Amino acid sequence: MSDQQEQHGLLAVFDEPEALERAVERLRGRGFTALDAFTPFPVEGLAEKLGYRRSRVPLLVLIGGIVGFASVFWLEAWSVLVNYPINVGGRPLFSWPAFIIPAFEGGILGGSLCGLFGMLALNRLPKLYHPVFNAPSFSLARDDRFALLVMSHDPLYDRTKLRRLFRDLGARAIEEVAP
Amino acid sequence: MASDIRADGEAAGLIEGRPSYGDLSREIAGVSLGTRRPRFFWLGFAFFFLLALLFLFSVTWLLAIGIGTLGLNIPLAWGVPITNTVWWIGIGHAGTLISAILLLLRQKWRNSINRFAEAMTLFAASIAGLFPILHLGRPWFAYWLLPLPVTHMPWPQWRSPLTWDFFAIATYLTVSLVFWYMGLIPDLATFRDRAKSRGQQIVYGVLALGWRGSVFHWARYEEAYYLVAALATPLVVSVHSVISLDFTVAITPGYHSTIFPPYFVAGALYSGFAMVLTIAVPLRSAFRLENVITEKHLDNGAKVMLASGAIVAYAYVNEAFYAWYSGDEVHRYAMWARAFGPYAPTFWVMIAANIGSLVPLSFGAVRRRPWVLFAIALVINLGMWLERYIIVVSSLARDYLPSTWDTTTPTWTDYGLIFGSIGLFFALMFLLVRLLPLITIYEVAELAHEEEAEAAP
Repeated sequence: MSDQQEQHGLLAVFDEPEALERAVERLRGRGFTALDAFTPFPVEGLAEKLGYRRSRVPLLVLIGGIVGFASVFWLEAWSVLVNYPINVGGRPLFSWPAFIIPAFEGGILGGSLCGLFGMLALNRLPKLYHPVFNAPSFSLARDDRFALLVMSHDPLYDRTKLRRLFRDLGARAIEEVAP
Repeated sequence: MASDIRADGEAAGLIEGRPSYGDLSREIAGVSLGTRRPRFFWLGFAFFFLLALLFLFSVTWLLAIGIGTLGLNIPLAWGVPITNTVWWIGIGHAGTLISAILLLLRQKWRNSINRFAEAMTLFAASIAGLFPILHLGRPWFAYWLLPLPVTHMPWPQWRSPLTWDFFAIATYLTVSLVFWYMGLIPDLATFRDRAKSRGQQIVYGVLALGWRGSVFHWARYEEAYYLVAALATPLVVSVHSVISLDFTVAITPGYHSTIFPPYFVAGALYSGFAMVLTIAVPLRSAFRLENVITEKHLDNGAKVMLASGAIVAYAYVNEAFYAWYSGDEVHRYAMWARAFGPYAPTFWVMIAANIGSLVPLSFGAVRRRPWVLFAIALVINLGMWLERYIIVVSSLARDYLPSTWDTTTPTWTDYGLIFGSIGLFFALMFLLVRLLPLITIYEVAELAHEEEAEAAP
């Protein structure tokens, strides 16, 4: 057991999302906290079972949208009022209804870019190396591989007991993951 | 296999033959990662690539000789290039409708067709953005549309629809790219893990950004994906509305009409779904994807065409009615000249194609025959191009003063641009099929799982 700290964790691969969900429930029930699961497609409600709470993605999108809208609108107003005012037959310089359309497009653009890059940043992506890629049984190549990872820094981490537990839960492959 | 199920009296589903897990990834990824492709794939690519070269040649010719090579002259300053812009942007709109609006409405049937529809949006919007620049006459000043803080040029005219148009198309292109790439990330990871050669593993691996399918990542991913879809929905409506403002804000009779924004959006969906079917029907039969792109998808696409086409037909009637009801002599004459003037043959072909196609589309038996739908889709593609041509050209041809009346016909450079851009578009679609997953693997796998869970007691 001395090499436990040198392991990233123990990975169990299941055939079905339902089996993975049962395993997650069992392990969370026993008090495991350092868990991660890997699925080929989103499984509804599984993240919440692993202790996920609402992310800050919506907030980032809102901020991006407001900043995008405001900056384009500000540019329009500043360019016609301050930087280069042109009086055309006494028409108002600040014709804001016409300014709404480019500003609207700017808001959409800001929100969308924040959606993509905010999601990637919160997920700590791009990250081309991750220990689970070392495990031969980990693969997103097929859509019938649902993996559960118990990380070795979990206080309850015990390889022998976990192996037995995973076998009882019907895992098709159990594997130690190198860091 | 699919016919077995229907023989049991079951309606065509979204995924047929209940493929087991793992099969779908193999089937979809095999189209791109498999080593063998049918010979007609290369023949088709060669044909469209030659047309793309025609586009390159026509553009070079236009830039080298000048704007006089196109059928454009005052008063007909807008012609084929603007027609092409409006047509191509409209084709792109169906992609966004499928990917964003149907996602928000939880229409599961979008899953098999959204990826190539999004790619279609991207390619169509890119091509559309070229034409306004090409027809400028002095295209090297195109960057004056950008709000650049430099002393040698003024700020853009913020009150002009042409500036709005630039912002709308540029945003549309960027957001389409964001949405498309976001949807690709998990599938690129599947490709990375399936790829056999080192080169493919590196390229797909870098593009997948290290996606590992963690459920925490999926949760944030889905939040972001739905939010971008929610932003793309008003965007898509705004883009063709803004394009229609290029026309309606002008006082030219035939342009100056309040029905244009909704009419343009409906027309965009009509032509866009026609293009979706133009691609989907050969695609599913060429790569044996009949169990993923089922008759249900084609039927639903045809129904969207029926609905949007009916709105287009209403707009034709409404336009004519308001020309008469306005009591404005010039407006009335512009409408009359459209139907009985120099562009009458084009007008009646357009009416026959766009309204005539609605008749067969209303029959379920027709909507279930893929190749009949394909033929109708081609007719609608043609009809919608003619519609844009009629709006752009016939209105300018009959302005207020008879002394400014003129007509024009497309030159060979115009035709080179039209057919060349079609070639470029389809050559890009062929490359997409070769290089990227053309069906969203993870969404189809999720759908297959849900259907299996429902089937189980």
